[in-house]
Amino acid sequence: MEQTFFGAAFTSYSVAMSLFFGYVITRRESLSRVAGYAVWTGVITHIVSLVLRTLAARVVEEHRFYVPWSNWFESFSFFTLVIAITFLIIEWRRGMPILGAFVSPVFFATMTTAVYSPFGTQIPLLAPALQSYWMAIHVPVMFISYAAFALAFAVGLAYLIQERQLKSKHPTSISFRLPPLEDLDQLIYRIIRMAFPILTLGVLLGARWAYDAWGRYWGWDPKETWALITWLIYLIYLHMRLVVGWRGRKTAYLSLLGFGVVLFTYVGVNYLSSLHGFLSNQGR
Amino acid sequence: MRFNIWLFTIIAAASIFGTFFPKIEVYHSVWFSTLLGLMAFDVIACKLRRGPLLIHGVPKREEERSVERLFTQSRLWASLPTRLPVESASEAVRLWLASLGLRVHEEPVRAGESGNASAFFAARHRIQRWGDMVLHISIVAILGGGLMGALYGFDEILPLPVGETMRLKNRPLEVTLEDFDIQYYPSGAVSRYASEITVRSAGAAGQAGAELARKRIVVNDPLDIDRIRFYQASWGMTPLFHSAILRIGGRDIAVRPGEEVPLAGGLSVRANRIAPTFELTPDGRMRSADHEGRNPALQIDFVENGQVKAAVWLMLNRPEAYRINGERVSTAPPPPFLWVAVDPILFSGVQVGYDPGAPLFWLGAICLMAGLCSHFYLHQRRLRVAVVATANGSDVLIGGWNSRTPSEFENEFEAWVERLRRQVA
Repeated sequence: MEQTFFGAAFTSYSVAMSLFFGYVITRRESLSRVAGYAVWTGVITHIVSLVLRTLAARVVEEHRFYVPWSNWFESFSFFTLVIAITFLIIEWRRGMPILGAFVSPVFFATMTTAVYSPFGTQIPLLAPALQSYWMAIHVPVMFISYAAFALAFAVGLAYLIQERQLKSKHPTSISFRLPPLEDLDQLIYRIIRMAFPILTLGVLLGARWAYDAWGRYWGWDPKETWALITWLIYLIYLHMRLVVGWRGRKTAYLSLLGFGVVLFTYVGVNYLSSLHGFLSNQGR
Repeated sequence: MRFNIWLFTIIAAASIFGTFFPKIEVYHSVWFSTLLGLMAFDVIACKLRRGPLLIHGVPKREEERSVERLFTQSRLWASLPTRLPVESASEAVRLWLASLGLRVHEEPVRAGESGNASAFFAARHRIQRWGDMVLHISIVAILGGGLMGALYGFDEILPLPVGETMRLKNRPLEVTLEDFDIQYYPSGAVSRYASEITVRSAGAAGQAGAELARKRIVVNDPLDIDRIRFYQASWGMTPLFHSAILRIGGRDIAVRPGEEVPLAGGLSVRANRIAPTFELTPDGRMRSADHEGRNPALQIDFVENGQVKAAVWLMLNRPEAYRINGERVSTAPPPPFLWVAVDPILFSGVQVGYDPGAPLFWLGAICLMAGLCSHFYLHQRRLRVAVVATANGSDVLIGGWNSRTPSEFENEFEAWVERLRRQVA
């Protein structure tokens, strides 16, 4: 049953991406509306699948703290869900359906990465360190910030495309769909401004967990260090914007760089860290 | 570019370097600590320099109270001419500001303007102005906490076999491992492990001290005695064992460490020690890589007339990979010697940590969050309103300022002004 709902979620996200692309090409408003419904359907079926998975996993005594983001597959699956929800919130607040064309490939990619997990899709056996209620607090907070940075990345990409379109003598249909540069620039800033305290909270909650689990709040483990690097990149973004006065293309590039660092912190560092790595638990 | 941005960039670059070259000590080096110190210094210097601006939220100085100066900080402007005298217009403004849910302060105007003018200051989310200061100072607290921990804290690992007592190097305390329990999933992976420990004050030579605490510690649930924390950090196999069972020539033989058990033909076997994670070094030496028990091997000797005839390593999980006198020997299965089972002596890695900087660090962390939330999530809006007498009545001058980009306040400001326009029309 869980897999059926998960499959439905994956299908909905895929359909949403196709519809958003169709919207860009055909300029038919109805397509963007249906795409939005498809994302909603994906989110709801995805949540149901995660609830069913959690209920199934918690039968085991050691899994009383189990949450469905404990290995590679679950982590990417949950990341997808948070990105989709973040997109729906921003779409509801800002009303820019065109962003779906930039965000939907991101959540389609994360969902595909989950499905083709090199470590399988089964419910993991939790290592002793992961048997903690902090797993239910620290990880979602980090994911909310990561999802927001994914959105900032998508908007940054939209900014750069729109800028190129406006300079071009033959702008394509996407240019007419995209909001003005200033709105996109402002949106990147607003998203990062919203996400930065959440990232900080996630890192500090991780420090609190480390204090209970490993005896120190900061140990320069590669995952911790890269979380700090991510924090510094967005700190630089905020200082560049608020203090130096950077706007436009430069800050859009910084939002792309920031998400690159987020991805490395999320995935790449697992190959450097024995404590945080998916590899430490063999991804299972 | 500003100094602090260069500093963040250099710290980020050094941190990246440190993760890719873990053998080069970056994070505890003097130069990296200097960078962090510079960051603290930069924050202090920057905030001390910019600090007084904070007070400017409400003009304190006489010359700033003039009507003209009320708008020096305003980003948005509006002017409403009315036919109402100053007193009536001021009352309307007062009611209008209160209806907006703003906190209103009536400001004194310069002596010469008294009677002909009145001025108001109103704001929402004024606490936001402290966010910037609080979050920057909290960074200093966090770094200070880290420095205190590094200078005055300690960290020890006690590898304790069951029943053993060890004394801390840094405090007159003794830790006894009363019991160690390890559980496995059906797949063989470790599901949980726990240590029953007793902490005593160190007594005089040969005497046990007073018991301070006893607790079953597990990962994520340490014991805390006056901020000295005892963690379940790790576990492992010692080279020691209670007993092992060997199968030699099809017969199961129970052996104890160091004990010779006779076999046929004057030969006897003696089991010596365990290598928890057996491996060969590149130069061919046999050793244990760690204590994790990933590839347990048992070293046994075949003895004849008190002479060791052959030294053999037996692998628990790879019976075919035994070694005689260091050499791998290939024979048709089954192998002539098997290590069937073992009752190992495990040890618990109890980590003892004391970090006097932790309270400061957590205080800094809480302040950092409070400062960030205040700075980024609260939208401070300030209005300065002056009512000035004119030949036909009065002019209401409105200046708006907000803590975010002006465009985020424009619509709201216009709606507010429109509301007043209807009231004084």
